[in-house]
Amino acid sequence: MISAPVTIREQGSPTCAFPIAWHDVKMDMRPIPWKHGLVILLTSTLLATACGNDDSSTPASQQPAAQEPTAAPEATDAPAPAPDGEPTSVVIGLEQELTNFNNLTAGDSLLAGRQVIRAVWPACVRTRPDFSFEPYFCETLPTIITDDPLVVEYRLRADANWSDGTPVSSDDMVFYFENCNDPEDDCAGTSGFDSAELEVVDDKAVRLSWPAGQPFVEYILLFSGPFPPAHLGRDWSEGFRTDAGLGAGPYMVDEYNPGSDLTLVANPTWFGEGPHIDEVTFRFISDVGNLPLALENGEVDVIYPQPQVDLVAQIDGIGGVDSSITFGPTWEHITFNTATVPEEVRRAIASALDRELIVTALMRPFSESAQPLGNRIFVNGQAQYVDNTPAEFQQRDVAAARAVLEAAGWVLDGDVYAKDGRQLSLRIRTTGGNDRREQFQELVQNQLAEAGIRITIDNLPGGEIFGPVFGSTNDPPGPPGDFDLVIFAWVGGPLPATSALQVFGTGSDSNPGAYADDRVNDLLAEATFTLDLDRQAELLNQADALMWETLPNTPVYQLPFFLAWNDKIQNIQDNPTSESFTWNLEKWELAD
Amino acid sequence: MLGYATRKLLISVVVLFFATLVAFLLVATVDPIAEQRVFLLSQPGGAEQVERLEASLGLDKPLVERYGLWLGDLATGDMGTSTDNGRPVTTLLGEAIPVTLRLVIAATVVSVIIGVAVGVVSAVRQYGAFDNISTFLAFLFFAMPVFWLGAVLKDLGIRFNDWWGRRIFFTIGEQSPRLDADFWGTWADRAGHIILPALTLIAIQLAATSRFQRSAMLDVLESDYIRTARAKGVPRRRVITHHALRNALLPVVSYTGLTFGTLIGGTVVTEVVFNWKGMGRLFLDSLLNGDVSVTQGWLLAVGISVIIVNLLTDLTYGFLDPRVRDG
Repeated sequence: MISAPVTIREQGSPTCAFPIAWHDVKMDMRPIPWKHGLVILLTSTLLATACGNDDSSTPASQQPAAQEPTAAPEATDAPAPAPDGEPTSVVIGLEQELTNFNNLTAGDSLLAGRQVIRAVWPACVRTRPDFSFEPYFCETLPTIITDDPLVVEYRLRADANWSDGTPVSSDDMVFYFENCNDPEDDCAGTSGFDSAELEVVDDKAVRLSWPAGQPFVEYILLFSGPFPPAHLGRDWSEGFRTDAGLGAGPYMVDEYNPGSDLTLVANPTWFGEGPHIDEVTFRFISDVGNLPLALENGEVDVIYPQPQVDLVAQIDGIGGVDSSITFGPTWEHITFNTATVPEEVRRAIASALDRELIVTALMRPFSESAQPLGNRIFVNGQAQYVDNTPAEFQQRDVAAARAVLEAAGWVLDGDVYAKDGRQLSLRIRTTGGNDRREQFQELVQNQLAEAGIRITIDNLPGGEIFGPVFGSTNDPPGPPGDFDLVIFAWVGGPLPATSALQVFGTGSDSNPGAYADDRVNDLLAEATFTLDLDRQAELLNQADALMWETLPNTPVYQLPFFLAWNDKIQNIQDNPTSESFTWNLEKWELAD
Repeated sequence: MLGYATRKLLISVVVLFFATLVAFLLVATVDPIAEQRVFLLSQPGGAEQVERLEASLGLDKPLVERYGLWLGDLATGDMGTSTDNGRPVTTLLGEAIPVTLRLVIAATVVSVIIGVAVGVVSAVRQYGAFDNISTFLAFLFFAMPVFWLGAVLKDLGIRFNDWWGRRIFFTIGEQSPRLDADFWGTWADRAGHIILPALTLIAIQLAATSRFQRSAMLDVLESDYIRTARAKGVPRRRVITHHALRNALLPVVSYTGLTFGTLIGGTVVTEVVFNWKGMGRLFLDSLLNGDVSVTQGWLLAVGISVIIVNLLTDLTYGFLDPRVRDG
C-alpha cells in the first residue's frame, strides 16, 4: 500500500491497549438484556481475537530508522502518495522468502534474497536491463592491469560506507574472496575466484591475478554478488541468516518478521542519488493466486509473479495498475541427441518446425512482441544478439524437409519415412507436468508428422527427466543421452562464453546430445580467452552461425518475466538479468 | 465432579502418550534423506557419506531408541529446528498457534451463537419459511468448497471497498505490516483482516451447528417433560429458553469441542487463501519442504490441542449434565 506511513513503533509498546481507565466505568449490576449481551459477546470476540498475541510481529532485527516519521497511520486509506515532507512507502509482494541475507552461500542463492539484498549490500558492478554493465560500488568497471597474465583491479568508491560509518573496504572483498576461492567453500559462485590470487592494494582496492594463459574472461562480474560486512566478524554461512547486520546501499534493513514481512528504510550513509521512497516493505505471499487481488485492493503495490496467461489477463483488467512483460535470458529449445538423430534428420526437423506458430501459441498470449529466438548464445534484448537463423529455417517448409530426408536415402513408408528397415520414429522427452512444455511437445509432434517424422512423447515427472538426459551426476542416476529429442531451458547471461563452451563443447558433461563440431570448439575456446568483449561477441556469433549448420539444438523462445505495479510508482523497470526488478530501487518515485 | 475430572485427566495423559507415539511414527517411518541417498550412492565413496549422514541424524539407531531420545528432547522443550530456515520448531509453533487460534476462536464463537439461534428458531417453527430457507442455506454452505467461498468473499470485499471508498476488508495476512495506530486504528486493521477468513469458516461451521441444534431441539421439544411444562401453563418462551434449550445445547457442546480441536489443524485452505501464517500454512510448508522436525512438532501440537479441547469439552459436559459425571 502506498501510503503516508506510519509512526515507527517503539519496541515493546502495546498495540492494542484498552483506552478506558477503570475509574471511568460506572458499575451497573443489573442483568444485561439478552440482545445487548449478544452484541457485547460478538464485539468482545472480535476484539479479543483482533487484539490477540502480537508476538509474530516482533522484529528479528532492527536498525535505527533513518528518519523519525511523524504522520498518523491511515491503514485503511486508499493508496495515495504522501504529501511533501512526509515519509513515503511502497509494499512489494514476493512469492518467495529469502532464507539468508547472504545470498552468496550455496544453499541460499535465491532470487528472492537477491531482490531484497541488492538494495542493501555493496556490489562492484551492476548489470543493466540490456545486459550492459555500470559501476555501482566500484569507481569504474574493473580495470585490466595486465592482459597476460591477467591482472584486474577492483577499486571501491571512496565515499562508500556501511550504515555504522565504517568504510566499505578491501577487507570486505577479502572476506568475500576467502569464502569463495575454494570449490569446497559454501559459496554459490566460486568460478573465477578458484584459480585467482588476491592482492590487497590499499583500503579500497584489491587485485586478482590469474595464471598466464588462463585469463578469466568473466572478471567483470566478480565481487558483484551483494557482499556482507566483514568487520562484524560474523560467520559467512550462518551469521546473516536472519539479520543483515548493516546496509551500505540506498536502503538498510529495519525490521524482519520471518514468514511475514521485511522492511527496508533509507540509509543515511548511501553515497548516491535517492532513494526517493522512505520505506520499502516486502510481504511474503507464497500463493501466487493471492497476488492480483492484493494488488487490486492496494495491500501491495508491486508484484513479480511467475507469468501465467490468466494471471496476466486478470491484472490487465485492474485499473490504476501498469505492467510489463520482459523476455529474459531463460530460453527453451529442442536439444537433439546427435548419436540417434543424424544431421539430415535434424535439418529436416528444423525445416518442418513452425517456430513462429509455437511462439504464437505459447508466448504471444503474454505479449505480441514475442519472437522466435534466433541465437543459442545471446538472447533477444542483448546488444550482442544477432538473429543467426538461416533463411532455410526462417519459415516452415515441409517440402524442403522431405527433400532433405529423401536426398539422404529415406523413403516414405506409408505416413512415415524409413531407411534400412528402420522407421523415422523418435522419442521426445521433457519435464512432465509442465503444461507449457507438454503443449510445446504436442505442437512439435503434429508439425513433424506432416513431414513424415513420427514423434512419441515419453516424459518423466518434473526434474526426474534430467537423470536419463544428463547422466549419473543427476537424480535419479542413469546413463546419459536416453532421449532423441528433449525440451528444456538454458539460462543465458551477460558474459556467456564459458557457459557456451560447457554446453556445446565436445565431451562436456553439460552437452547431453554429444554434439561435436571442431570448428565450433575452436571458436568457443578462443572466446573464453578473449578479453575484448566486442571481439568475444563476434566469435560467439560466428560459432552460433556454424551451429545452425550442424544443429545441436533448435532454440525456440525466451521465457517472459511479468512485473505489475501501482501506476503511482515511477521509474520502476524490470531487469531480466539476475539483478531483477529491484535493481534500481533507489530511483523509484511516487507521482504527485 | 472432582473424581470425574481426575478420571478424564488421567485418560488424557494416556492419550497424550499415544499421540506422541503416533506423531513420531508417522514421520520417523519416512526416510528423510531419500533424495540425498539416491544421489550419494551413485557417487564414488557415497556409501560412507550416507552412513555419516545417517549417524548425524540418528538414523542409525533403533526406532525405540530414537523415540526415547525424541521424548527426552521434548521433555526439555526441544522439538528440533526447521531444516528449511534453521529456526526452532517451538518458535515456529509459538508464532503460528496464536494466529490460528485467533481465527478459530472468532469463527467458532460467532458460528455457535448464530448457529444455536438459527437451530432453535428452525426447530420451533419447523417447516416454516425460516426453517426451509435456513435448511437450504445450510446445505448450500456445507457443500461449498472452502477455497471457492474464500475467493468469492475476497472479491466481494474488494468491491465493497471500492464502493465505500476506503479499504475496510483486507485479503492477505493477519495485520498490516508496520502499523502503528491508536486503539481504534489497530482494532479496525485487525478486524478488517479477520472478517473475511472468519466468515469463510463461519459459513461452513454455521451450517453444521445450526443443523445439529435444530435436530437436538426437535428431540427435546417432543419430550414428556416439555409437554408437562406446557400443560402446567409455563409460558412458551420460558419453556423454550429454560427447559428445552438448556438440554438441547448438550450435543452442540460436544460437536463444538470436537470441531474446535480439529479446526486448529484444519484451516489449511483458509490460511492459504488469505495468506495467514498459522498452523495450516506451517503444516503445508513443512510438507512441501520435507521439513521433518516441523511436521513432527506440528502433529504433536495439534494432537495436544485436540486432547486439551476434548478434556475441556468433557468437563463442560460433566458440569452441564450431572448424569455424565455420575455414570
